[in-house]
Amino acid sequence: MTAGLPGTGIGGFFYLLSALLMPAHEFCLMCQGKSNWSRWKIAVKQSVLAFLVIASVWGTGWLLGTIMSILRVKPETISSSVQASNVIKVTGIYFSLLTLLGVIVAIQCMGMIPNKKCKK
Amino acid sequence: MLPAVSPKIARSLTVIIPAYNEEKSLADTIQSLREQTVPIDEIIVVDDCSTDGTAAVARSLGVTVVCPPRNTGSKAGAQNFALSMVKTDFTMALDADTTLAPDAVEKLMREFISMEIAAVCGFVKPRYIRTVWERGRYIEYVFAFSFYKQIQDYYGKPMISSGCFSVYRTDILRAQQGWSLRTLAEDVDLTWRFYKAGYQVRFIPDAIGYPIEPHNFHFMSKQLKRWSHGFVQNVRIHWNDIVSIGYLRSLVAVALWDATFASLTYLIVLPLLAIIFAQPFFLLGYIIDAPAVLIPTILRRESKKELLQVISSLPAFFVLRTVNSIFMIEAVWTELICKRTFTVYEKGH
Repeated sequence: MTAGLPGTGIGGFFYLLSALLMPAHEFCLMCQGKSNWSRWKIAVKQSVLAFLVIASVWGTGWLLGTIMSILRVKPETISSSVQASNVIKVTGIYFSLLTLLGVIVAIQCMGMIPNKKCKK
Repeated sequence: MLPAVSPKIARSLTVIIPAYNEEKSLADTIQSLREQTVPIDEIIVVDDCSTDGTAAVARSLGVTVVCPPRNTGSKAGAQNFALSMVKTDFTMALDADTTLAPDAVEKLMREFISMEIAAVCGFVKPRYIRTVWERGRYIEYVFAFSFYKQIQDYYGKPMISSGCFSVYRTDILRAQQGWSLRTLAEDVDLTWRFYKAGYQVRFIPDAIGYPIEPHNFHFMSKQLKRWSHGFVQNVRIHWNDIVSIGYLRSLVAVALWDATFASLTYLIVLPLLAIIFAQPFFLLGYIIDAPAVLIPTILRRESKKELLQVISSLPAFFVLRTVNSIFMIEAVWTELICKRTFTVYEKGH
């Protein structure tokens, strides 16, 4: 079992991006003659799953934003209600993506440093 | 590149079952092995000085029973004790509380198509789905194994070859000195050592095992503590090796970040924001990804009846996730900040 909290933090974004990149990755392998039908099936299936997940989370955010707007709606604040729609954006999606980018870049840089120590 | 092994070559297999006080579950495990679609050459039950009838149950079923001179203190110790007795090309480690689908072994063995493949693991689903803790674990497993782990396998790096249900090439396993006792997650340690040595690990989602998961908080906490500390111990030991292994370094870095900062966000930041800004909507952060968890889980279900089970179990997932975050923070604090190693191995049931 993977450690951490499935579906939370940057892990969710990491796997979604990994899944979305699978068809492109498989295409590259196909150009190198390393692909096969079963791998294509997995790549397509997981990327479709990722799209469904993204769509569902986006839809949830939209729904929650709409509910929030309805609960707080006053005639003089219609514009702020419209801006409050899709609460996903205001819950830090961009922050999470930036964090993920930072973590990935950092670990890739660490990978480029020659490994002088090996713990046993 | 090493030559591929013909699938027509006979595949001899020994199953090692480490067991400490497992008399209630052992018979079902052995029976599920007897019902496999491929023959198993030998089943070795390691009775780790049990105080119940574990050895008697195993002997009554006609399997090989071995008993170390004293309790080995861990599953790894028990498995290593039996490893020296294995005479077959392949070795399977199976928990004494885990039953298998009838074709599970066949599906795993089929994947050893190259000498570079050191281990193959399968999909794990809780056998019983009744209490909050079992339900939470059910959603957690189905989500992770149907989404995360298949992605890991596609990129050639399943993060863990699950200790409860994996098959190994015996010669490679022995060359790695078997299962190490230096961490509480010997399966993680072994998997990452395989990668360091240049071997491959595969995950087969169609090969299914059914372990008994902790049914109450007492046993769940023991298991979570062991897994949390085991993961962090392995990160600490393997870090310098992991950073040089492509996709694996990203997997581990992301998992460690989530174990630490996502846990802190979950437990401290979200409630603080809700209080400071007097906005309870911040608490939506606890469940806003419910659809993300639900979709892969629903699509993986095996029957219409399971759909209801998935939906009714979803709230338990969020309970388990919250509890898990507490143990992860404690493990990171203890192992990495305080540099104290937790070494007590306690079973989860």
